Amino acid sequence: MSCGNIPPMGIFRVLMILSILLPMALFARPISYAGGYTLMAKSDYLKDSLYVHYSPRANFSFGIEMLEGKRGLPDRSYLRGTWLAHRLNKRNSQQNLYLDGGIDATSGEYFIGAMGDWETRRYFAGFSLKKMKWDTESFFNNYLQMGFAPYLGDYGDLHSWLMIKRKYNGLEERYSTYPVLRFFKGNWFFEAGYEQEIDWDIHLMYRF
Amino acid sequence: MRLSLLSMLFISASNLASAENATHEAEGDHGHMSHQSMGITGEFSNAEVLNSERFERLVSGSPTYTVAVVSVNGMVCDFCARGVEKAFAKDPDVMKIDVDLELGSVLIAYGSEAQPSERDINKRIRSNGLDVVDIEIYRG
Repeated sequence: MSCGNIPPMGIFRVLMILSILLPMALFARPISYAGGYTLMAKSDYLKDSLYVHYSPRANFSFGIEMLEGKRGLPDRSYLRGTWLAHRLNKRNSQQNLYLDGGIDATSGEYFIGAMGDWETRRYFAGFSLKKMKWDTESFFNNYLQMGFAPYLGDYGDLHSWLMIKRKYNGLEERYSTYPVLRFFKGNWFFEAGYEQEIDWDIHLMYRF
Repeated sequence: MRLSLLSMLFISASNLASAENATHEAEGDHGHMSHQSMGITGEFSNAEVLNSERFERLVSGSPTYTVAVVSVNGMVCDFCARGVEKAFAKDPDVMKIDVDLELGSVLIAYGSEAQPSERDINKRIRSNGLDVVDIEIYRG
């Protein structure tokens, strides 16, 4: 695994500054608790992005996502919304299905998608299907992700997950499979995966 | 669209995985509360919570106490529970909160003058997208 080709991280520098300015508080789901804000930064083969959303209720969030396009794609700013369409809470598990979408007000370009996950304290499985209209391209960007926690942390501990992700890059019509490490503690969530062809797949979240 | 097909399989598989627990937990999914046990069976019981070090720690140093013991479904990760703690921390009557992920329970210690309401507790938990199975309030 080589670390020699790290993508530009302009948005991550912004995030670092924000994280210093904002009071300590971040989370892992596309919707926070009622009244909660989430700051989310992602970097993958398509873009670097920064997304801030607010959840007026536990089943809905809306916000703004700023993207720096890669591979010739232009920068965009989406108005986004996410709806928790289904949740099944059990004693030892939780299952979710989310529907989301976003539109760039300037260009009219958009994405629509669905995400789902099922998790226990030990196991996790999730997927995302996303149809994107971006510049002249229209493509799917999908993934499946599964993993397990090697130890069960208590509330407030550092929680660690070993995962594997299979991603479909619709822009280039290729599949990638790569390992992912996930950590969260308190209001912070960090996830990183790496594959030589697509470089880093990074996800950082903070909820407040 | 191989990933789409795999996603459909994933949804089906997770539903199947939940089916056994759903049968087991059906009695606990009523969505209303009582001071009495709601007949939850299996590994969880409030007796286990009451005898725990967590409970002792929560009430230690208080000559009198009022503690709500809340059994919650869906609280499977630290993130899921984080909002619960925040929701109760806003309540000026709440002195301490303890979350137990293993037992799926939240202990809420109130000030001696407080009159905690089951309806309010239920509302705060549900506003976090979790389900209350049982609430029992103990005074000592």
